[in-house]
Amino acid sequence: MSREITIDPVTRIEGHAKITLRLGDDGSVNDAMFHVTQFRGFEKFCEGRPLTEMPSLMARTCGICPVSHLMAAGKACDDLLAVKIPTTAANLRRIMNLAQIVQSHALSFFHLSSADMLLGMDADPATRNIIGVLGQRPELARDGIRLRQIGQTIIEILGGKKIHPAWVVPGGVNKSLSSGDREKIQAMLPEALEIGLRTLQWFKRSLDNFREEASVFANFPTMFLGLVDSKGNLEHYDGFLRLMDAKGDIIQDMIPPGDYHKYIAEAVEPFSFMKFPYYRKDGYPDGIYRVGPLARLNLVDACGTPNADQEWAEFKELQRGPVLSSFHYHYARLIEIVYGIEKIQELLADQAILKTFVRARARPNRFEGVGVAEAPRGTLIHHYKIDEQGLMKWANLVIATGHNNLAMNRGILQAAKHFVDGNKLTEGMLNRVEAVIRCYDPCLSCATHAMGKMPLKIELLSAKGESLDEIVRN
Amino acid sequence: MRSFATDPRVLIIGYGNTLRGDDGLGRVVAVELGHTMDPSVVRVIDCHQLTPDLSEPLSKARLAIFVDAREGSPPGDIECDKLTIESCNNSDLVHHLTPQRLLAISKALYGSKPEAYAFSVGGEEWGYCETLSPKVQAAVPVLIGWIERLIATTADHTIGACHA
Repeated sequence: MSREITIDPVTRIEGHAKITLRLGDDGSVNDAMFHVTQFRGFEKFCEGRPLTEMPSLMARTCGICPVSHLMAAGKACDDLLAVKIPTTAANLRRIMNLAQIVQSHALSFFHLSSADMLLGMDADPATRNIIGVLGQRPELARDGIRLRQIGQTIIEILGGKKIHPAWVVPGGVNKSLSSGDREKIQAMLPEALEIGLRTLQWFKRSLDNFREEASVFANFPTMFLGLVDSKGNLEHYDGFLRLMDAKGDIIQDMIPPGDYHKYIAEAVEPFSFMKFPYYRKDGYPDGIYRVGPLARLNLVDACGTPNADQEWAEFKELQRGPVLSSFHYHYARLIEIVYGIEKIQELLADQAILKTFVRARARPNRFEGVGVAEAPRGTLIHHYKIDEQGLMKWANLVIATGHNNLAMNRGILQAAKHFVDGNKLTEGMLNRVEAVIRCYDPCLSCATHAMGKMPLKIELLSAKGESLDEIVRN
Repeated sequence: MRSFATDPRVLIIGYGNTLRGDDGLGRVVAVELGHTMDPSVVRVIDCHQLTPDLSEPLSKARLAIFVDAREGSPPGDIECDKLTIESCNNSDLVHHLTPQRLLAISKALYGSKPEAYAFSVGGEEWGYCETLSPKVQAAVPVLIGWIERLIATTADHTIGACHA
């Protein structure tokens, strides 16, 4: 007798999704599926638009990570113009991208996930949210708010507004950085670094409480994909693609981003609107890989800033070879916050950041262009084709969260098999299944997010449709 | 979200979705006030929705004014309510915060909260459009006048009743 449990919606993620667990006769979990239930269609409705509109248009894909889409779209347009943008413009874009990573990671950790860690996976869902964190540890909530505020303020100073700035343009950026604005940003960074390091120390002290979760939260061998710079160090804006296997061997390196399609293919499944990218050589679904903070810290040779390198070395001690448990996305996210702040400090310290030549101008010189950047959640690829008038003919977006689709599906299966007893459901069991998804901080291309408890009905049905058990959150 | 100063005495938060007709009322009003108010006295924030991040600037203000559109009232009808804090632990916390709950967060996290008022205008057009309906548009200058008067009457830092 096959039965199903549905978790709908999955809470504290960006966007809308549900999870289905299929049970066997004995109540054990046989299969799990992560369904993305919303459809966006950006690849289709941009057709016919001028390429110059693409950065601003693509930024509307999301209200949480618009900067990431600005970066990838801007770079794809640079490729269509066939220009090398001024170094100052590239570094200014780099600063905005890092500020976006800092604020997005802060949102993920403090607002969406810290409640699980601070209050426990079995805590009352009415308080298992940022408001619960506020009650228990107001200083942690204050740190989260402040860190996010700093990241967003940097974006606002550079781009004129916090969400959907129109500052990235094909060929560079539309405004240089004044010395006054540089000082404003620099003044905020020591406090941000202090918060990042303080939170990291707290998280490391809490790790022992989550050994069981770490052992079964998508803890399995996969490949890892991400950008590195020419030295193999951590890089979020530019560089080359690197693919590492589960043993830690680099299997593809220094791939020019424009060649991504030679290595990555995309599959579709009938149960989800999200695509399933895979490593072409290994086929589908064996070509499973992960992207994002965990992948990046696994595959780099170093971070390249002092505190982040020290923390990265300690992180690598978790496991010989790559760190495989997706629970440690949280850990990697906090290290990247520290890295992002230190790197912004380094970039701003260079006088050349104030140069006013920040835009290369050209007409379209190619019919096809690719832009790749590291979004908070992983490698983001924009691939465009235009006609002779510079109008969009075709677009393909390989979204960071999409790369992790296979791993998220496999991850919820692993956690559900370990925690869920289909004969008697508990809220804590199902929260752990959701929490696996939250490790990846998926952004389902939507501006919404739930800060706390959303309406949820989980029903356990027999093959005849009889209700065997039910949990309802109002 | 656009801010105009660091720690002024009055904070105006206009919020809503400018792609949904009258729902963008709060932001339209905030942008207008941002052009006319003295930034050393009034900080204006226009944003899509209320988020916990706003509790920090809220805690630094002595007078807070929220501006939003409202369903279920005659179009263009203006209301003003003096706000009190609302429990943080209500179980219906979902996609958005209320001004009252934001005040509670401000108090809990930073130990202070301002006197606060919510101005709202009844709307009628909530579909996909980037303009206000005629009745709501006509209410904008009236509402701005009310807000300016409220700020003027509290200029001596004594927060009195709302005269709107």
